[in-house]
Amino acid sequence: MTNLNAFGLINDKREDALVTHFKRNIGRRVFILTEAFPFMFIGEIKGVMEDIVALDVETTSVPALEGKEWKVHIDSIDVFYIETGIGAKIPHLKDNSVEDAT
Amino acid sequence: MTQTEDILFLELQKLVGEEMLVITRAAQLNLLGQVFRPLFAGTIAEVHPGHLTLSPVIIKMVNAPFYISPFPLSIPFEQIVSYSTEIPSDEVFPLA
Amino acid sequence: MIRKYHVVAIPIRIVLNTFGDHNPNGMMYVLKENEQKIRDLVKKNPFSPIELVRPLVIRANEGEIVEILFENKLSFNTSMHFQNAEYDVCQSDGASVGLNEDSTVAPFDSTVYRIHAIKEGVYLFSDLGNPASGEKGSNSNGLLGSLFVEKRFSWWTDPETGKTMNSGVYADIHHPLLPSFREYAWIFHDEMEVNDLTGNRPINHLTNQEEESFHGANYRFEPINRRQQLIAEGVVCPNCEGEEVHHDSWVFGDPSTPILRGYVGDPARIRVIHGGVKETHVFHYHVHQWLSDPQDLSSEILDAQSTSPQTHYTIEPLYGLGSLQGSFGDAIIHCHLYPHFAAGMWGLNRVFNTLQDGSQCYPNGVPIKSLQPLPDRKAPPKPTKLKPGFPNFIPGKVGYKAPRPPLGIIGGRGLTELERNAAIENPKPGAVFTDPCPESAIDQVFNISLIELPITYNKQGWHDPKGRIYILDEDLEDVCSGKKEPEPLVFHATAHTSYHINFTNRLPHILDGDAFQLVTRTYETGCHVHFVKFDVLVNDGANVGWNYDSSVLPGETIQYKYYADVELKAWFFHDHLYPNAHQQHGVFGAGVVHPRFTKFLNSTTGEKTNYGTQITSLNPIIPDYRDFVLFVQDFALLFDKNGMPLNPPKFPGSNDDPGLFGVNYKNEPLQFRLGSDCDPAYTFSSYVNGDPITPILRAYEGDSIRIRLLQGSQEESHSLNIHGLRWLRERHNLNSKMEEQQHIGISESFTVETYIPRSGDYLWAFETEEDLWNGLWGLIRAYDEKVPDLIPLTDRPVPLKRSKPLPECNGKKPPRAADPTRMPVKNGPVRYFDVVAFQIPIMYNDYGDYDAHGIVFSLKEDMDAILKGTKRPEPLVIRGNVGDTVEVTVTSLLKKELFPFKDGIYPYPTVKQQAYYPPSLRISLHPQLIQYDVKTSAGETVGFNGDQTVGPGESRTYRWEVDAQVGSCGMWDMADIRNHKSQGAFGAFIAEPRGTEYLNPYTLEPVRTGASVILRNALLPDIREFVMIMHDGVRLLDKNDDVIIDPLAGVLLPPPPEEVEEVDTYDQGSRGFNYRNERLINRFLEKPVLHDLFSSRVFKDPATPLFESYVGDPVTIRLITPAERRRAHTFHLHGHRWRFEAMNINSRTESFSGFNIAGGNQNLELLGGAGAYKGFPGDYMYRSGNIMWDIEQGMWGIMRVYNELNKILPPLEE
Repeated sequence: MTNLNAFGLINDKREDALVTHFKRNIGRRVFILTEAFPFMFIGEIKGVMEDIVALDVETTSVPALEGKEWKVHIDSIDVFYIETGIGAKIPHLKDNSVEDAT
Repeated sequence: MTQTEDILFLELQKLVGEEMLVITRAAQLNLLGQVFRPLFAGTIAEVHPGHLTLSPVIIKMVNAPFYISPFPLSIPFEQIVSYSTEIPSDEVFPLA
Repeated sequence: MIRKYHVVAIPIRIVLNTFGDHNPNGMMYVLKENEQKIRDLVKKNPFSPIELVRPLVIRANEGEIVEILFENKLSFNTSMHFQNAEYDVCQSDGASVGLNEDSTVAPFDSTVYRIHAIKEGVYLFSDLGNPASGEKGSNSNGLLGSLFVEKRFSWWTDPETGKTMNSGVYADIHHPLLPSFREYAWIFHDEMEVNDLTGNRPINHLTNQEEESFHGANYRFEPINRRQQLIAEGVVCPNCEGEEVHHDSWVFGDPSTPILRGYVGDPARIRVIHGGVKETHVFHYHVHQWLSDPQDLSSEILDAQSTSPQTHYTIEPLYGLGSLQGSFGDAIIHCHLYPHFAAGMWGLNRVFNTLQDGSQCYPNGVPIKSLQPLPDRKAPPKPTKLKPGFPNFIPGKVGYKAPRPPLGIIGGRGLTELERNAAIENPKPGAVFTDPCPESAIDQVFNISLIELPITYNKQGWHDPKGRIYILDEDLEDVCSGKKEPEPLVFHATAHTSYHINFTNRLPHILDGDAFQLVTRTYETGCHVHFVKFDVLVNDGANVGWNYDSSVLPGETIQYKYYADVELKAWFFHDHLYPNAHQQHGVFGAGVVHPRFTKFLNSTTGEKTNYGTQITSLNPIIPDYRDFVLFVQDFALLFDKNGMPLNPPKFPGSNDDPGLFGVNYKNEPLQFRLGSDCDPAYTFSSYVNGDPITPILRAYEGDSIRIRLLQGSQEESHSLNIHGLRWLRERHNLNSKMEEQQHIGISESFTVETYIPRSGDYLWAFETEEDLWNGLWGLIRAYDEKVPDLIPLTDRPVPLKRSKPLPECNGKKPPRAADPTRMPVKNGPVRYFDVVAFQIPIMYNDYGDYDAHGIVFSLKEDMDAILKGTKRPEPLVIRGNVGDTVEVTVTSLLKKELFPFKDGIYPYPTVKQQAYYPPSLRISLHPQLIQYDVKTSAGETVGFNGDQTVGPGESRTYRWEVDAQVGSCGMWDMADIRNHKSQGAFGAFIAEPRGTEYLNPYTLEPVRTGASVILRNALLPDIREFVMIMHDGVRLLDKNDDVIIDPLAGVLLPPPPEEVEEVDTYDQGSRGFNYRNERLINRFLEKPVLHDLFSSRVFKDPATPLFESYVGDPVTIRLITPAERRRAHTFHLHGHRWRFEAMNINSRTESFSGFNIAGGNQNLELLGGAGAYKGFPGDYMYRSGNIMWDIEQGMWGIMRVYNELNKILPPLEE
């Protein structure tokens, strides 16, 4: 067994594995948190180019940024969850409102 | 190169089913304006070569320190700053 | 997304408590669907509070448009004006301002308001159709409510039924991603009309005088007067006195005031709103702490928070209900101002530990309403006979005082079986039902007693014969024998400490009566603490709800246990049984929680210590620091050396602003500081009068210091200013604003963390006029060389051996300060300003109201024009850029004959203890926040610094360095705080970014002064800058040269003369913006239509500054309050928001700025620029949030936003 770290490769290897994981899940819904604005993305994974994931974004923290395609740098993802079809689902967020509350 | 293995990956695989507290790099995260430090406590459900998944998982929010995320959370290894498997997820400790 | 509500404003009788106290002329907003139901219920129950009669709270989600069909059923025009919202100002402002269309609604008419809920938060709404402050106004009668904007995707249910709801003060809020939480509206309001059952004003049963004015929350109050009457009449609790059981549900059952219910650990938000008209209240919530800004994790931890009229904030208790330790029971919530607390401004947060499904009862048989568990949390266990849950395991007797806690009292009782079942595994004294202290914590034992002894406050023998203080037992002998001066007890420990307190009640049973107070039996006392973690049931040092009474009788000792989990500031402690009776005698103290691993030394001897108001703290990994504590006090009940009461109230027992002031049980009144030449300019000089008796905080040049600022007693706002030292408002956040001033209310705690850059004497002062006049000031003395009685900090260079003797008091005029301009300039370009101070009448408005004896600073080049009348006097505003050195030459042209009162005793407005203080002809100019050497350029003559004031015809140059982009800085005279400042001797300095030019907004010519400019900078967009200077305490004459007795002279629809109440000294005088006001009474006398009073269609534009811009123009408001009175003002700009912390992108955003009081300064960058993000043109009112008594008195103006180019105002450069 080689000590990967001695070659500085361990970090690359983990990043590659994460990219592969996103590639395997193209077509699935994902939830992503980033430290940078706009902090949250919920949407469908459309594709992965190098270490960038393309998303069809349903929801972010800002309505004006939704319904658009976004590219997210996978290395900047702090936390995520990809729906697998068997586990828990990411809720479909709707602006809840009663048309007339009176 | 000969066979290559990530020791972290191997170690974590042995811990599936056990509880863990993980802290990631961000100064703070923001869920719809609710801000929190990235402290996640939960049971290791899956370990992949680039990330692990906690389920169920508690997001330690200052105003709701035992808030269980409605779905599992996956954490990239490269974002992990520190973790411990010796802190049970019901441990009470100061956050502010 | 559009959300719609139909709201009706109706007249309604509001019953305020179960004693039948009521407002017959109440007014409220109500949803149309509830209108008839409410009217029917009120008709059927004329003397009982009706649950539905609450301030209207409606909800929406972030990003929605809220459309409100508003119908007015009152007899005058009313409206709904929303804070924090964006809207078309011509259609939805809920006011008739400037040239806008009138958006108030005539009686029995309706309109639609369209509000953009841009961001989550509190959108307070209230009426602006009727701005009158008194009983004929609308706001004091209840016409207020709130829209709560929740995070996107939220929905809400009724906490009792779990069903969805349309309105209500309590709701459970749910979200697909975020935790569900309890949402509670806590709406303070004050000055409501109250009648008793007989229809007359309530009478205090002890004094036989009219009761204090109304102070309550959510249309309810629970006054001590009413509950105490039940004791006096023999109905309940024989042998009780009153105040000790005021909050005791065992005696009286639950109060009518809000009870916020939840289960242990529930996430919660309390939306604290000040819907009242006048007072600044302090919200305090037992057991819990929260962040000052929930969006910013590096913001301050608070557990008490001031709120001035029309301000609001959200409290998210850290760790949920019951805090980190999971304490269940009743946590009282109250306004900490004791007269308000006693008047009934309190309620409870009831934290249950068992499930409430509606089948249980309280000990008095009243059913416990069901409470749905939050859906994403495990429900608490069901109550059983053996484990009935809170409060049913407590062995109390209904109608009698709450029982004492088990285990805690030395020689006391053990646990009953039910208590044992409810307790933790190993119950200990002070920690029976939860133990906050981890085993690894460091144990610290403090033996504390509460004693009575006379305290002398000053050199003239002013004294409190019945001083009451906390004291460590080991100090008892030294203090009682006079060997040691009494001071407020402050003890020190580090984070991760378990405190074990042995508290002994050594007070006499009786607090004797005198000119101030009636005899009171203060037979039991305790020690209630803030910030630290504890078991509320047995350890609150209070007697609250269905909890135990955790106090002790004389001679008894009780053991309390607390845990300090993290580094905190100074935690306040006080007695919770009789604070209204005796806290003003000195019953307060603090524990400071320092960083871990800190050691504490006596600053004089270097010996280890763990208590004292001035110590030295050493830490192995962070810088050492001096730790100082200042407690400010009002209602100090003092007598002079001959035993005559000082400022006694009209009758004993009155809470109407009795007594005087203190700081750490001392004061140094200015009236005693005049030297042989009787010149006020040397009042603060130690050469003339020696050092003040008040604290002198001692350090060496370069030392780090922390000043723990607290208010020990009793009702009022105070404003600490430190001249020449600045600090971060949020000490954990480097993006926070720099400050030299801090507002403080009782029980609040603030840490000033800073260091002393240069040697010299620095003035600290509670700087509103009356506080300072009566002696609330002292010094921070930084030595340049070694002194024998001050140890150096270990991580600082050793101070040099003393080369010259320390200066001494010689009774003579202080020597002139050195000339700062003789030193070579260190930094940047030098800006020179030649400033003159002279007297001139100042016209405040076009109705002829004027200050006949105004004093102004102006640039010398403008003086002639001002004297000739071709230029109107304005407060001097000068600017410099970061990196500049500023040299200001000040010349006094003051003339003795132009002062109205040669003895300095003003018949109006007054201050307490007026005395001979003849006007000084000297002048000075003191700036905030920018850097200077206090020994040459502080613009004041303080301590053993040299004289920096100038006499008639003399000049002096100060040198200031603009080292940081601090923005707004106040500037004022310090030569004579009685005869100069409220007369106009103030202005502003603005520190701008490097390379900024300042242009006249109309001519685009460069300018050197002016309140409205364009800032032009190569790297930044053009910005319009509007400088608004709020000030009060002004003596105005009307056009007939009669003194205007504001505020009362300005009251619209005043009550009959026999009902007019006296005004506190600190409300006296006129007020305005930038030497102008637009008193509504002048307009009303011309055309008596209330809702038209702000209209420029009916009247001209107001006399206050008109600030003009185009839609989308970047705008920064510099808001400065240099002068003068103790009443805090709220600032509100319609339709716009800004970040509370301008340089912190995570900051909360609001449309108000609270606590504007002497020394306050703010930088408000309008989000989205003029017209806000939605870009609506029109007239936006800027104003005070205090309906009583600011708006009527003219504290308002207009920011005009155009959408079409006009000839006068050139557009900004792209």
